[in-house]
Amino acid sequence: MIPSWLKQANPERQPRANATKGGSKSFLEKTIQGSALFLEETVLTDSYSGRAGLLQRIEPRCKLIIILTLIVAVSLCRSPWLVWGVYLLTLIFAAASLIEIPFFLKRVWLFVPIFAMLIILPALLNLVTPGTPLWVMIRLHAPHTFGPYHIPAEIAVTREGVRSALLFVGRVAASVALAVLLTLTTSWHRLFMALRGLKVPALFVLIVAMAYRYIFLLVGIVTDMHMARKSRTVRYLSTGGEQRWVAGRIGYLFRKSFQMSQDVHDAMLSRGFTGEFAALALPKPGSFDYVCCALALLFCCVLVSVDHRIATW
Amino acid sequence: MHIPDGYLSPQTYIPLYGVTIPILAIAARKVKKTLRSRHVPLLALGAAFSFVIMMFNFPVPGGTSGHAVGAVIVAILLGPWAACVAVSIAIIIQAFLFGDGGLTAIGANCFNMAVVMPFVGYYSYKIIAGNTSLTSIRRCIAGAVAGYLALNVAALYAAIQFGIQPLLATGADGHPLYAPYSLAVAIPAMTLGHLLVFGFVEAAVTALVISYVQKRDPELLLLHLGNSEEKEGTIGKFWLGLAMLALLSPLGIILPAAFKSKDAWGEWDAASLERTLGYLPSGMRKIAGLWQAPFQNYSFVGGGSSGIILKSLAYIGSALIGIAAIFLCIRLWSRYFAEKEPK
Repeated sequence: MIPSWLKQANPERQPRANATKGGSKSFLEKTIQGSALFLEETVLTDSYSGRAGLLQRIEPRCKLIIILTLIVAVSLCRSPWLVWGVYLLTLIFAAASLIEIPFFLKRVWLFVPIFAMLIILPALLNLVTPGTPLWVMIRLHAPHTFGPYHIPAEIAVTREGVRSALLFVGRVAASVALAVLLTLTTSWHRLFMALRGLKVPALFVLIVAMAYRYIFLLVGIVTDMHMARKSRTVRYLSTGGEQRWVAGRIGYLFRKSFQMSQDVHDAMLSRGFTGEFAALALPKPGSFDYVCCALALLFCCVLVSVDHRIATW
Repeated sequence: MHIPDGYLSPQTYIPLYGVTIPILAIAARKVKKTLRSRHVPLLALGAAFSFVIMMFNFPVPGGTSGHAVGAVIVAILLGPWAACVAVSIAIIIQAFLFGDGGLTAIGANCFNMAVVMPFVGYYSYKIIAGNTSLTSIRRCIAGAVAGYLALNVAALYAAIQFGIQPLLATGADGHPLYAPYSLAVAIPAMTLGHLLVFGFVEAAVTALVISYVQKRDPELLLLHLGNSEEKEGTIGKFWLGLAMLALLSPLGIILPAAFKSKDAWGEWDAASLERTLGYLPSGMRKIAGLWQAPFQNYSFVGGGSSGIILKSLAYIGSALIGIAAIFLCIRLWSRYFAEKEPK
């Protein structure tokens, strides 16, 4: 039997955790949503790595070498056209790996390249990049100098600024696209296996893989703590009180992780762990993988040498 | 604070890998030596914890919220070496699996957030906290100062890494090829936000977590002593410091280039002295040709026309050769005298 006072709407007693605080989402909501997005992204990534696309077929070690070499080659390029060319190629590879292009675009462009675009805007001007003016925006009476800062009489967008911005955003977008291709087409345990194949110490890879698994457990605990708090919130505490609550949860999480590390250690010892770690042998790459690797390395050499010619030309 | 791919030139990210990997190797060896088999789960859980701290939204006045990096609290609880490995693993997982921070910038990100931040934080905490009781309020204050200081030093390092890009790499017509802002823009842009806002978030998180641990489980504040070798390691620290100084030696050419200044004061050679004074003192003219250094201007490739990266490498090489030469002299010297000592 629900008492009648509980049925009546009383705006002062409405739980506010769902609503906003100071016009934006509450910190509880943000953390819960952040954790949910994190889990969703991981599950989604796993679904792509299982598809029968082109990049999924390449052995993870070779794929890691290919992607890393391409990212390094992109970082060496000085021509915006070639960098954007590599970015367009990643779209073709995404399509060949059965990744939907709208999803791929969203995943790549939010948020790193968009942020790069925003921060590069002032560099279009001759305030940062002096050069041939393309479009004069403001004319001042005289140039000004304040310590190391110089403001010219004509503030203009320069050709060099545009070139530099195109190169910068293109390079960031191409590198992020390549990294996203790697993560979307490789499941985490194959990626860790690839790291081990590249002579990263086995014990280090074991710790990375263990950490990865426990992240999900800890994220689950964080979500539960915030959900429990949200469900019993009638009104917020002062900012100081809320800060103490969040810090308390971080402290609790540390205690829990430390306790868990001891339990895990006991469990490992009882299964015969001596501190040394014997890793399973890695599967050998096939001829298809070697061909892909060779093609990618050749492509990188051609890219860098063509770029060198264009840049000096 | 996570630097993405494309912001740093290879001249920056490769040396930063070169600095970070040996430090990580030393850290892993130290932790393994003190914790034995216990280090595997502790580092794994420590890394997972470091990863998850960054997901907490911390309320700040004005109704909004911010994130903490958390490397300082991890360093205070686990010790700086364990924190170094744990935070690095968190950064590696973020880069490889979640696209947070670039793959080429892992070295730089680990250097800023997993080396500089834990060490600056841990030692400033130790200095301020001293030998106070575990539940002393001074420990909270020490945590706050350590959090604020360490985050700002890490941000300054990131700003310097951004700011030196226009000096290291420009196109044929002088346009910047990587992050375009000079030190004069990058340092204020990066540090102001950290000095005014994020530093206080890190300080509050660090201090309040210490305060929570003091109330619930103060013994945890002693955990870091078991994870580090506080008593030994002075020689190791000495070598580490020396290596850091050698790696920082190219600042001697980068900074003058940045501020468009000339040779260091008092270090002029005969030619530049003649240019400045208008004449060359006769005594100097006599002795100027007496000695030709094997690596003039700390360079292996004659003259100073080579690029700044080659020069930087030559500086580091010269520093290492210099250290090796001094080391060899002292070894030979001490051996000679050790043999002469009466038995």
